[in-house]
Amino acid sequence: MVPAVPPLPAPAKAARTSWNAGAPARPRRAARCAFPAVRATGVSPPGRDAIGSGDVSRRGILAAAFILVAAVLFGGTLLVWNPASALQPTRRQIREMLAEAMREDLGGPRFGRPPGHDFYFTRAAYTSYGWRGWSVDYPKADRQFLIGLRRITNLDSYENENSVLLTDPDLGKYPFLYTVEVGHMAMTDEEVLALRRYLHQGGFLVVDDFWGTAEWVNFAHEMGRVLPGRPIEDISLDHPVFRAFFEVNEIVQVPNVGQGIRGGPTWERDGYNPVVRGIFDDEGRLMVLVNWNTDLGDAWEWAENPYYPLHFSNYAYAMGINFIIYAMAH
Amino acid sequence: MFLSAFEWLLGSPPVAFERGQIELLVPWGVFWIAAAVVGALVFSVLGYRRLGRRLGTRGRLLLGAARFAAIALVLLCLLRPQLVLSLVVPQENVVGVLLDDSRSMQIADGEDGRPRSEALLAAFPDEAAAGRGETALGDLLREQFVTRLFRFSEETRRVASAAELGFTGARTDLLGSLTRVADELASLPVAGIVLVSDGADTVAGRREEDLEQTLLDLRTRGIRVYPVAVGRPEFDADLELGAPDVPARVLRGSLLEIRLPLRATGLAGRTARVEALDEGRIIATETVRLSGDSVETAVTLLAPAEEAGTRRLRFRVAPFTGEVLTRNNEQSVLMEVDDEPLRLLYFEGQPRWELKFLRRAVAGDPELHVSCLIRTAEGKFYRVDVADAGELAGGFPDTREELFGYDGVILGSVEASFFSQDQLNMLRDFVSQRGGGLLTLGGTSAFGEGGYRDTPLAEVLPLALPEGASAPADAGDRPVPAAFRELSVLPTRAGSLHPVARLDPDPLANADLYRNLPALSAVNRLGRPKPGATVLLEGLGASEEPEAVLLVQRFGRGRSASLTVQDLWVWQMDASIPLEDETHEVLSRRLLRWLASEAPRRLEVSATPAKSLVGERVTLRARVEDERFLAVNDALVEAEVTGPDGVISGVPLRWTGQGDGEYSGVYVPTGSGTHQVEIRAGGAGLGEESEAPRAATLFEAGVVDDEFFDAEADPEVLARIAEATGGRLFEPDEAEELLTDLSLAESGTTVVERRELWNVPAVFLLLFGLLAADWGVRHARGLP
Repeated sequence: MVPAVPPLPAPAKAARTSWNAGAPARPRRAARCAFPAVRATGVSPPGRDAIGSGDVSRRGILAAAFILVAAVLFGGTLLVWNPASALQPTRRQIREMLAEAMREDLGGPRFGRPPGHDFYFTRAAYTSYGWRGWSVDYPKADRQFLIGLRRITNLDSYENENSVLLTDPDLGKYPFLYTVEVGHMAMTDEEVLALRRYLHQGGFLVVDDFWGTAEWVNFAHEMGRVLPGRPIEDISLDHPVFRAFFEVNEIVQVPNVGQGIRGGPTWERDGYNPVVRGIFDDEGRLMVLVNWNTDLGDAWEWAENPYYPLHFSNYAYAMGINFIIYAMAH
Repeated sequence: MFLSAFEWLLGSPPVAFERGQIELLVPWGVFWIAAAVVGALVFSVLGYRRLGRRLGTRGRLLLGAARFAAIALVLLCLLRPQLVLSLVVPQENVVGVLLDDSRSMQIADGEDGRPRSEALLAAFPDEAAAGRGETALGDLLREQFVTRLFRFSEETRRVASAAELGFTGARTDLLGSLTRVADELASLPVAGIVLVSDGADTVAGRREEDLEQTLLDLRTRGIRVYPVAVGRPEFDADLELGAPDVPARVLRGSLLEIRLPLRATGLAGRTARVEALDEGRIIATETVRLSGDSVETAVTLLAPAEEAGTRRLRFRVAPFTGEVLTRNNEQSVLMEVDDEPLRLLYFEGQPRWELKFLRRAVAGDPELHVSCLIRTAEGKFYRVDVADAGELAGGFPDTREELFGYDGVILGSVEASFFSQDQLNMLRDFVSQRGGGLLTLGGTSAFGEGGYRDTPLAEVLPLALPEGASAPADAGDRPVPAAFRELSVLPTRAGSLHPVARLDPDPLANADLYRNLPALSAVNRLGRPKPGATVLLEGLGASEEPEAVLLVQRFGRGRSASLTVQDLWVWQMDASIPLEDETHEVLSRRLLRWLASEAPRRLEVSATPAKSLVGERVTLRARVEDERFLAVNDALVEAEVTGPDGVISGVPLRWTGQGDGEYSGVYVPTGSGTHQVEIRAGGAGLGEESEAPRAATLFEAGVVDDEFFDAEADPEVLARIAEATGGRLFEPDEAEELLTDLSLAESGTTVVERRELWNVPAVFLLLFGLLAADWGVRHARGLP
């Protein structure tokens, strides 16, 4: 038995917001952000042109000093009396807006999904805070992964993406769920109950693409709400999930597309070491499979990109297929 | 009345004419007799010639015939006809008297509630009391014969008088006792055997041929048997439980389907509550309304077998008021509850959720081991839950030894073309010859869509496959399978009674349980259920007619079931299913247990009778098969019988020569209690294997209550014995008739007695009648 993740103190809500604000935004994600409402209320990253350059005259200095003083005074006033806070939506309103946005995003393929296939690659849509959430890499990653899954295995799988709300009454029709960016997960109580029930009934959840201690803490906290008292344990390489279809002998850190193409470091934030962990039920059956400090989804999504290293994509496909074959047998 | 009139007219009873011969004493030659007859004829005709015109032809013939008959009768008397009889010499002959000493003689079905034994004791009073009952059969017999009294039940013993009878015998060995008495009296002049009994032979395993053989033997020896029937062939009011149909070996945790025969007489319209008890604990009950008189019906009880080991199951019905016999309201049976798991093979042609959830469902059942093989890609297989590294390492078994090692096979969505022709034949033989169970599941590559229509497996399936169902296009090319339909599943009437589909004992509540479950889906086009199949669950979809969802049937030695839906797992995962709901688990486990639990082992053993007497021969029978489940005739089979005192005795079993693979041996229990029998088979014929097959069974000695079952008197058997040996069946009050019959015996020491027939009243009356008729006609016509 692998020891549990060391318990870390749950961060205060203010602290969480600060990680979010400090996180470097990936351009591609900003371009396809699903939640305009959230983006509008979010805190902008610091600008690069805050510091001026060129000849500095006395007048200029005075003007600058005036502006600075005015800014400080204005800022101080804002600190004391924050008019924007009156305009900010409440947490509940944010959730409603998120849910609405998710429903819109779930539109197309979900309702056009034909019945009768043995398998649907299903994304769990959950409530998160910040602009990051379940729909990162969606649907391209799913579609590209499904091409590989259908070519390599003889699984009768639906060829398109399939996303479903955790609170959807049809959730049970999809015993396999994939979800990402759980570092920003902030499930409603209804979602927590629905996911708990789903996992206890025999559903299988694969979690991917979250990095570093802070995101781990958030995920562990959310999982603590879903499956109270169940530890998240390391899964060693001799576990059958690593041999369900492909033989996987090492855990590889799969970088996001930007770092993968540039050939830079594979880690993000302080997530230096990739880890595969799991939550087991009373009978020792794997219910939740956690890929931390790695981004399989990006490797599927950019598998066709000639600059994205092939071995990362190969590994990500092998892992994804293993997870599904394992989930469908255990 | 008729008999006494006959005897008065002819001087002897009919039986005398039956047994004796009629001879003419005066040795006239044929010529003289013929001449006398012709003379009488001429005289008769000529005598009426003169009167011809006045009489007419008719009258002349009538009078002529009467005169001729009278003359012929006189002529016959002159020849002195005699009845020649061989009569037994008084006190020179022996009569064997067999008195039934079994417990069934205690049954009080006589007048005023008197037991059968009383009628017997009245017929054979104590010798000291002789003279009081003048017409008692015993006394009459003693006057004429030397009587030898025997009591018989499970054994036959000589007794001095009927007073020695205790009526406690546990069996009635009717045929055995007849043979033994015939043997014992073989050197003596035997006039016959008198058999006083209620007629029921209760020796276990007795067959019709045994009866015929015994009767033939008695007939050859010329011994007549005169049965005296006591008891009534039908009770006024009685309920009897028959022998319950319980398998000798069941799997722990199974739901047993017990068929309990029940026969009620004179209790029409009453209801009976049948209870099944396991070591004193009620495990099942069923209420039945009793129908017509003396018609055997059956109650089906579903009882769980929860604890491993030897269990004694008891069945009982509370006695009704006025019942003649209450001992037959109870039955008990011994059963071995096995905890060796059943081995099943589940093969899926592609990864499917059905496999995952079936595995989860049976995971909590220690008696089921399902080895799974999934084809995950072309030529690539994933094995789950295999016993060792070698199991299924080569994919789906391609030898009989490997396949027949399983008790059941589940085929998921896999096309027929995956299998070789030999594998398909093997799968059919797996069910028909090996006796395994085959479950076929619905799916895109199952049934007709999987191309099974013209394969050997189509024979095994409990439903027909329609023409035209073809393999689907590649999954990627089809938006929706053509035949996709959702079905709301409900149990049929048969399903509500079947151990697989009966989730609640009450049929209405059972249907409600299913009604609350979500719809399932099917993708196969299917034909009608085969005539021998039973539909347990049916589904209602868009079409008006329900279609079969779960069907079962027997095929050869084994069982076949089809679950036509492709997603039974929805009953586990759907949001409407409460977390604690166990429907999917219970249904899956029951289905798999039912499928495989009766698959025979390579070594099967039985002991008959399962309830024996101490000192009675118990036959141990074994059936031995090799790894391919082919019968082996040259095996070394030995039984070890462990008695209740812990003493182990070895009994060698030998090939019977009557059936392939059948062995038998005999063990005689010396103490009462439960005996464990363990059998081992070895020898070259069983192939090279590390472990010789073993099997176990048990039987009970010393506790036999067969006498109270099927306990009505059986005069039919007694009548057959009488008829076959030349005797006659009598009632206890027909002592004198019996004696007459016995006196006319042809065996034993006899004297010849000739009885004149010319002087019997019948001759005189006939002659007088003929002459009177002659005279009367003539007088009426005014003739001389």
